[in-house]
Amino acid sequence: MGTNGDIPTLIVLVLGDSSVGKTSFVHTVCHDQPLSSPPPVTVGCHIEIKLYERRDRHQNPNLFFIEFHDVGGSIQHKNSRSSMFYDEFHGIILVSDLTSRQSYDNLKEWLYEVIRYRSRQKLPTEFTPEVLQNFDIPLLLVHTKFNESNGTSLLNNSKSSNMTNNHSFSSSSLLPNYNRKTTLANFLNCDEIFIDCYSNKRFSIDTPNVAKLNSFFEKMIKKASVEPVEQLPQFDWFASENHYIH
Amino acid sequence: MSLLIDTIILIISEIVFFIGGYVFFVRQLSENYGVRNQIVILSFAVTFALSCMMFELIIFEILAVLELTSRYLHWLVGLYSMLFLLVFLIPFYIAYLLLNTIKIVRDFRLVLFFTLIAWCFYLYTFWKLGNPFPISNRHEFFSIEQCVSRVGIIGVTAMAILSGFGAVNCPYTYMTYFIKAVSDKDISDAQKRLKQVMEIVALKKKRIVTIEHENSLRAMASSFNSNNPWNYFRRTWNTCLTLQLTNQITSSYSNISLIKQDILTYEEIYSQLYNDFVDLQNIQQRIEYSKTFKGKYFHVLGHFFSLYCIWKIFISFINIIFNRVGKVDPVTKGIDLTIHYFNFEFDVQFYSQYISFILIGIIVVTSIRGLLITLTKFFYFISSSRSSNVIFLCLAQLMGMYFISSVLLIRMNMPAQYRQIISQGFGDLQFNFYHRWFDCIFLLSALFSIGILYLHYRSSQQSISLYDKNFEKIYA
Repeated sequence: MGTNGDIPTLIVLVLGDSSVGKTSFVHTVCHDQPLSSPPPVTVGCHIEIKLYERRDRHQNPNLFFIEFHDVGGSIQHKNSRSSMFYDEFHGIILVSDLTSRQSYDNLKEWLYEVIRYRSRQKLPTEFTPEVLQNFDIPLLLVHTKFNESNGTSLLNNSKSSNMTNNHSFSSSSLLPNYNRKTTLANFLNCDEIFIDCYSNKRFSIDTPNVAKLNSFFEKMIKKASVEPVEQLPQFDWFASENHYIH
Repeated sequence: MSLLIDTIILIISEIVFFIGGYVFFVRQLSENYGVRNQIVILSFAVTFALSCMMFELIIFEILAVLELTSRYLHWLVGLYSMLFLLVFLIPFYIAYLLLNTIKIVRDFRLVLFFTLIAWCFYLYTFWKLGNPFPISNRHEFFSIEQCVSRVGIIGVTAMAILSGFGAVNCPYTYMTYFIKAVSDKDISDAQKRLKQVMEIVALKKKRIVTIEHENSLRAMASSFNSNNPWNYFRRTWNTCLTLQLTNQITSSYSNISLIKQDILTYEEIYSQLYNDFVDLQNIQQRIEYSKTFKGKYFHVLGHFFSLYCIWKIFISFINIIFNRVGKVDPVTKGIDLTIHYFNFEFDVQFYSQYISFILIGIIVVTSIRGLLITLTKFFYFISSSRSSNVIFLCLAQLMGMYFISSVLLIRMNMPAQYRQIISQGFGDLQFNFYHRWFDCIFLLSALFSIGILYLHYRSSQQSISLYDKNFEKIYA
């Protein structure tokens, strides 16, 4: 982890197709309020900083800078992206658009682009599940534009495909909606967030999403820190904005 | 009977072109943008197929393949349907889609009504467009000549603008990578610069976040203290504290706004540097590509093509100054020259047919290919996922007008005995005017693009010097 003074920095890559809402999402998370209008197309990489506070066992606040690298997704810049932005990061957020099925299908390709660059070997151009075996960087899926679509259309396809998935939900499940996951989230074994970045609700009171984001940050901190961090009990239904350990 | 055979042959070739246009559209253009609207795809493919049919008929005219009357008939059929598409159908659908996306009225019939009004307005401007030009000698309304003349004006303008820009851009890009060799060190330097700017921006944003965090902590602390109202001494002490606090907060706010301005400057420098970096990488890739066999071939071709572009600009300049519009096509002129200077005796009729066939064939194929590539690049440049339907329809319209006007201009390159089909099919148009107009707009567009390229070059130089200046300021 890099340090600025005495506050360590963690870098998060935000990837996704062009115009899915990465810049809006990062702005909402960092500044707690939506942008006034959709931002222009990101050229290169847009950086936003969030100060994340966690309290350890002695109630001492532990501050971390979370640096979001929001990488522009346009196709012309495909070749220049890798060597610039994929060198150093501690976590990846994959963003897709609920109104476009194509952007959800391309998430695998984004992840694969990063893996191919990092492994520095000649990997085949088709995505296969084996490449994920050595990959243990924390991931988070974000699906934007929740209000404009019938948001659960991606969940209806969770029965399909030949990927190994460890979910036992069938289409007649009685569990509430937010516990069902899309196929990709089950495949990658990570959390996902459904969000509308332009709603008037503040992000910090949107408790289930905040809890998932915070557990993602915790995973990154645990992985990145040199000394072992004590195990935080993951209680989803006791979620609050800062983790208090007694 | 022969008419039937000819018709069948032409219909088969039509279907081939239609499938080609459809496949091109689906693969190249709409691969990443998910256009599902069948009418858009159909109109694009139909326009493409009709244009190719017109070119095919010209080639058949030169080779004298089919019956004369059947060729003429199919020419008229193709022309009328093309005009119907370009003047009536596509603009109507564009207006309909635009009004749909604006979402003012919900009712389907009201939308159609407004579309009709917009379309009549479009027809009116289309009509008025042709009045100031000395196009045709006839003064009747609603004839084919009027339609074709106006479509020709728009198409010739578009063609000249594109050619002008291409003629300047091509030698410039070849020159930059003839002269400037991009080494690995250049690219790693550019990368280092970019990373440094990124770090500076990140540092400043962290500073802002820290200041805001401290402010909120202080605000929380002060709100705890001000809950004791009855101790006068403590109250004055608290007022002093809050005064000091407000001073600190206001000074930190002005700090924050200063820092935010700094960040904006750096982000501008960053995007310019990033664009340059992408350009450098493209040049390096092209240099690597040119080391392969296919690359060497294109490299040599590039030399010739640049010379041709420069010659073309020069010739159009001469044409305008000396008010010269050629009457004789280059094939006949070339043959005359060889007969005069080299004293060869050969059958003029026979050879001129084949030579002009080859020449026209090359021109047709390169112009179709060039247009499709330009359309693809242009589309990637301006596309957005919201309005891609409208953009596709505009591209289809542009393509149709471009092909009609290239048929008009190609007449110049053909020997007199083959011009008949075009002259008869298009009616009585002042063809010379079109050539003059093309030369004017071509020259203007070439000058304009020279200006733009020069500004682009200057601004990239400026951003590097700006970066150096700011960089020294930080570390000084």
